[in-house]
Amino acid sequence: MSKIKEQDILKLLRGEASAKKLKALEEWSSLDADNATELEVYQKIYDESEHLSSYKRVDADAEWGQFTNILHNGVKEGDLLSYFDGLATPAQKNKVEEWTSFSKANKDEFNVFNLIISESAKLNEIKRVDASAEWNTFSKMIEGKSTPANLTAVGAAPIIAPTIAKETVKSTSAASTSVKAPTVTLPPPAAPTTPTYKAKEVTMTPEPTIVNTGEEEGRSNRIFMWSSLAAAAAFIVISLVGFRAYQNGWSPFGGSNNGDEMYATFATADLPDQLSLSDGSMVSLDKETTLTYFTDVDMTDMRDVTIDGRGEFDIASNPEKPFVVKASRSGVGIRVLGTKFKVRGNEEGYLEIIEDIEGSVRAYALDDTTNYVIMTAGDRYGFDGVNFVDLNDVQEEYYGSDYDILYVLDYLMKESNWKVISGSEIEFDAKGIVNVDLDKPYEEILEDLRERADFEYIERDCEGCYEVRRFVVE
Amino acid sequence: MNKSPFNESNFEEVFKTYFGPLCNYVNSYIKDWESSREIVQGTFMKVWENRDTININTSAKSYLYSAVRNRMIDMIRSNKKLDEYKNAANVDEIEENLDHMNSFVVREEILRSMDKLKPKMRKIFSLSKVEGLTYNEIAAYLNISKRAVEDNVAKALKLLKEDLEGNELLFSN
Repeated sequence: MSKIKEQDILKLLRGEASAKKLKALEEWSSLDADNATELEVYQKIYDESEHLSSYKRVDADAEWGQFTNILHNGVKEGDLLSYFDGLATPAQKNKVEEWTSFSKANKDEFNVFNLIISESAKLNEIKRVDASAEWNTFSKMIEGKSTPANLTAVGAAPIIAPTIAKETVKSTSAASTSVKAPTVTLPPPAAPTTPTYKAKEVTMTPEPTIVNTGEEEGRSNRIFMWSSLAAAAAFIVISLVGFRAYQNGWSPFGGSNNGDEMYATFATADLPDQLSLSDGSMVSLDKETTLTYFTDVDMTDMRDVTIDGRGEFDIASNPEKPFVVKASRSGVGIRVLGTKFKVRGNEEGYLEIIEDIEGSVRAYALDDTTNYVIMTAGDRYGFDGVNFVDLNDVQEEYYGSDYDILYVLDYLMKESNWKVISGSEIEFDAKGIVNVDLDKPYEEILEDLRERADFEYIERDCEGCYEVRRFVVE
Repeated sequence: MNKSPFNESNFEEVFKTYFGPLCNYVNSYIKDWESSREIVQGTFMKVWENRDTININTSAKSYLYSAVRNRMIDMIRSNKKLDEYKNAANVDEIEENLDHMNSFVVREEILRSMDKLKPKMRKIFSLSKVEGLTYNEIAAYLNISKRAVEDNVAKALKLLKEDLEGNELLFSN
């Protein structure tokens, strides 16, 4: 069979095919279902093309923009916020209520906002739980590897929810928690383990309890801690008391150094030194620095160390056991949430993350673990001995919405009572969309538009009168 | 056909999701955090022991909520524990207030979403909506404009809404 060309099909569709070609085409289309389908497609294109001239195309993106504009009816989070705050103007109130009743989707969205705001007001009533620590405790119970006595010691104490370093919002509810033994009936232990492991003290100062997001085994975290000289007096007292107490059998972690030797102390003299910890972490200590550290990672529930001085930590990740560094000079602790990062102090004694690869860390006051901040990439916080000082710049984010350029022009003219007009030779992009905050006074909107679009206007003879000459967006 | 919503593969996730809200739920009645924790831990232990034989047609959340509530009521009614729960609410009140638990799940989810906000935005939102400070008070405290406060609260609200609106835990029973 001869090859069928597009020209042959076209001739067929136009009724100009010769009898020979017609026969060949019929044979070709009956030979294979795909051929028949192909011919049908050609036929459809040919037939419908005749009607394209009367078909009006629609800019679906623009229509979608208008449709969503109708859906939202100009309601923005700011309107909803004013509504829930009871500060909405009658116009705003009507707008929100109309929007809410417009569709089920809007109603659902309204309900989510309402839920967030109403429940947020009650967040002070609840305490956060370190679910990972609780799970670790529980998983030991169900594996029968732990006794009720030492299970009580690792129970996570609650912390107050909001992470605000402000005296007026601090809570004392987690100050000192008396931990009771659980009364649940435990399954028999599968295999007795670490019988010499002494339980921690029943009354203990709660650690900051956080969600340890963890990461895979083998990743390493680096911490660089520095304690300010400004707190040197406090350091002397703390370190002397700590040293004497330690000699007398007291451990800063609630355990004891009598017999079980869970913790040890390492001190550098005139030269820096390095120390390898039992969990694989490496510590580089500056001169005249003391580190109290765990001796056997399997015997502790938490990898906690206390440093008097300055050191850099290269931490082996272990999602099961958070790594906590306490710096007694600055009165700040750092708890690794399973992330990779480096922190240091600056000359003012402020803690500062200088290198953050991913995730976050929790820095807390040693004397009040409910006073803490969560630091993420690029964050800078200071600690003045009482409060954390936020050194991050406030981002005054622009809070606009997307509008058609024509809508914005129309809005400006009406809002200004026609003091703003569009020039007769205005250049504008009729399909353009611009992100702008229309809640502002019209003159501020004009200023904003200069930054948010290719927007030009000139002053006219009357006060507050302008003529828009150009309004284009990329 | 009914089946158990608990198994070895999902137990950790269920535990971590509900342990905090359940502790807060119990604590809201008995006002004793460690006892609350004890009740919830004990309930999870029972659920774990019976995970293969639990046959229900409700969700894990509903089941845990009922189990914890019943255990709490038993504890309060127990003479042995009476002294420890002297601050506990009336049992009738606990039995009547069936929707109370869901609020704690919602609050936990809001807190988790708030953790994702930028620190400054989280602080401003907390001061406004958690602590109840006015915009002017926050502006003065943080030395920023009132407009910046409003923008940050509105933006935070938007981000929280976007994070939470698909969260089934907020609306499921």
